[in-house]
Amino acid sequence: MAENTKRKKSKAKVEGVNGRLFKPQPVLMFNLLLFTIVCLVPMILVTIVSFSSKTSIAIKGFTFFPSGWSLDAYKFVFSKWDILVKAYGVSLYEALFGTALSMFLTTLFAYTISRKEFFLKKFLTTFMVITMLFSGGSVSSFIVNSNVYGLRNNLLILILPGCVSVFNAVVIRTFIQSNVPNELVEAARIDGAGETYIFFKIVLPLLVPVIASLGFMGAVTHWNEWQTAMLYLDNQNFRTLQLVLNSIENDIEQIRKLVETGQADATMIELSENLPTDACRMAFLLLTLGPVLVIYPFFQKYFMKGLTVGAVKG
Amino acid sequence: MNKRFGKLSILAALSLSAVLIATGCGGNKENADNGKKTAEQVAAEFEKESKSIRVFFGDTKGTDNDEVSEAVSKLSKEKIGVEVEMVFFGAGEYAQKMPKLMATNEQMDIGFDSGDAFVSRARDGAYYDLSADLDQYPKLRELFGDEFLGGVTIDGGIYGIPTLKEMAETWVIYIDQETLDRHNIKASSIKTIADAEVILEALKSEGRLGFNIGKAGEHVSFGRNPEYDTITGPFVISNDDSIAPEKKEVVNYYETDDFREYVELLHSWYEKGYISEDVLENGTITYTNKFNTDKSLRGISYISYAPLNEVLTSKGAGKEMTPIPLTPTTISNVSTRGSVYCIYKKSNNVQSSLRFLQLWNTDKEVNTLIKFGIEGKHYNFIEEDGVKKVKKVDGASSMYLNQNWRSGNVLISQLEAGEPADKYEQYKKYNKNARTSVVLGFTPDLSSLDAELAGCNAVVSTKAAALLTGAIDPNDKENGVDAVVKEMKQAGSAKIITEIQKQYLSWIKNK
Repeated sequence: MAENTKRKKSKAKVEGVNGRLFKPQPVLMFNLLLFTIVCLVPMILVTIVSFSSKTSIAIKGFTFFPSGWSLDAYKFVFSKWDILVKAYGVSLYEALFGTALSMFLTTLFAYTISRKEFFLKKFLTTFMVITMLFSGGSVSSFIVNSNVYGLRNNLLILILPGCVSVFNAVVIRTFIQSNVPNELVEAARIDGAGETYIFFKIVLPLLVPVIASLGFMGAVTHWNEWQTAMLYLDNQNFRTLQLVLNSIENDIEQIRKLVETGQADATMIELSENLPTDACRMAFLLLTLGPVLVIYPFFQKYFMKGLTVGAVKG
Repeated sequence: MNKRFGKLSILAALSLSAVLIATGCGGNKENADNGKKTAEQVAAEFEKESKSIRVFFGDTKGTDNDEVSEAVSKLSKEKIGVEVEMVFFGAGEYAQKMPKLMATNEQMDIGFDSGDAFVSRARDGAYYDLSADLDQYPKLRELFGDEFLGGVTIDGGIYGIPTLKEMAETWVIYIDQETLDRHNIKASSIKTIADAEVILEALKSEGRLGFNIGKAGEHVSFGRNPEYDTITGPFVISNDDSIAPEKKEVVNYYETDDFREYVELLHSWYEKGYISEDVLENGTITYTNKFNTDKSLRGISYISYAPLNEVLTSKGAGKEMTPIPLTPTTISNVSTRGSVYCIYKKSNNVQSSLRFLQLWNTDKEVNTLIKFGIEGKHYNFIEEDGVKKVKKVDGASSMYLNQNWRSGNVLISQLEAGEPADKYEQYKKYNKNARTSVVLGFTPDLSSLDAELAGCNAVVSTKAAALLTGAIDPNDKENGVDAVVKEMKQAGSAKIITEIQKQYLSWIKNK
């Protein structure tokens, strides 16, 4: 009997909480389906073009049904495998360390300005707003970063500038204010915990959802970054994946121009004729996209929690 | 609340003014000392320098660039006592990186620049004015007549050393000789772009591609107007030598009848099918793709010519290509400042840099090293008809690449395999026979008319560029020639013309 009630109860729970969610909602479903298709179609086209033969692209353009298939693009891309491996290394370094450092400093800062009793809170908040409103522009930041901090040709340039994002700090501060009860902090303090202990043992574990979602977005931004590496780093071994992609693109363009204006030497002409330019672009695109696509599902569960942070105020 | 905003706004005003001061500093110009330096002064300055310079190149870095740089440094140290570091950035990177690097305290001595970017940087005070020093480097000075220094002379100062090569510009169309023979067309009978229609007709009858035109926006060049010399952008002046220079009038090319005639011609070609149908959307893309797939489809393209260019072009096309010149050969600002090496104002090694520039432009050994890399590794010497020539090894361009037109004096560089022995004689003849542009050495300062210029350029890169593809009817009310003229006038082209005319007249007077 008792067992029966229990089962009934749990069944009721499923219907009560999730039932509404699982009710068929044709309009919503249709819209979501449409959205999925809109997102997927370009990806599929890119994949198909990367495997299309050069003649097919020349005659039919970008199409889902190419007249011929070829692996030339991937052969070209993987002929540069040593550059690619290095670039993957630099990009991974930037995405991992950049995001970790950024999240660490941003949460520290956000926690500080979320404490009402902290005497510098007002000053820090104003300071933060000023950095949000005014930026020095690219030349002056370049001068400061290279002349004052000596970050030119230094790998730290990829992770240090902008590692405290004001937007993230505001989001995390709001998250702390609404999801980390002040009583919890006070209770810990009464029990004799120091500030460091409170932050790392009490507050930080509660911030995992927001760190995960903001961290993921930060990592994607880092992953897609190429200008910093281009401007500050001269060493050919310190090139990020996107920068390599960009410079290969530039080189192809340069060769094309040289050939068209009759300035190219024989090797270049040969190269330009055999190079499946458009297919190469797509193949590179897929290679750089890869990791992001793979990682994304693992972070998805945090997105639900993390991104609704600002919605409910405590 | 109000108080707070007050504080904030003061802060905002302060930081804004700081930014303005910081940017304003770049525009300062130093008063150039009119007296030229003596040999002793130059020698004394050289003694004080660190004698170690950094030279910036705009070519993609290959695997062996550092090795070449060390070899150049060693040679240069031996010959003039100056050590050299060669720094390479890819072409796209170079343009973005250099303006920022120039602002820092990083050591920079010599760097590549070209065209309008060179002019604006020279005016902003980024480059050192060589006019006081140049006479102490007679070998370097003698290389260039006044003509070749015309393009790098801005507001009376000499701001760089141009690359000595073909210093004049001719616009030609290329077509393969076989086709001309097949249709009995004589290349010499084609004098203007309109005459080229017979070729297009012949191409069409063979089912081939017609006239190769770039996408809207990437095809706007004024060097190809046979009646005018370009001053800046669309502002041109008649090149008719029978008119006295002080009587000449500055005009906006787009407002002339010649422009209307040209686009009417292009449009008629478009309608006859000589220009690809999707030129407006795809420009050269369709053309190049089709051409790459089947070379026999090749049509004609309208490009800038250098002596013996046909050799390379023929090699690329796999058959004999004939250039047909359509404009007079002219030495102009544009053609002389296409590739310039400048000394940075912040450099502490001006005399060392000048010594190196002199060596690079006059010494064959150094020139060859910078141009082709290391013998035995990147190229080998071969004998061809009794002449020593350079033959690059396979894949040399991925190890070390420094393009011919920006790696120093072309006229003393080693001949490459396949090039005729009298190549440089032909270059010299070409330069000697060229006419000089009316406005060589005249670069108007239009900094007070930035908004008007931007307005005109916007029209150029949209409507005018579209017209130049031929796809648009020139008599169209909204996008035709009249609309372009009207929009340019609205943007303030008349003001610009008046200003250029004023500066032109005072320049002519002081010439």
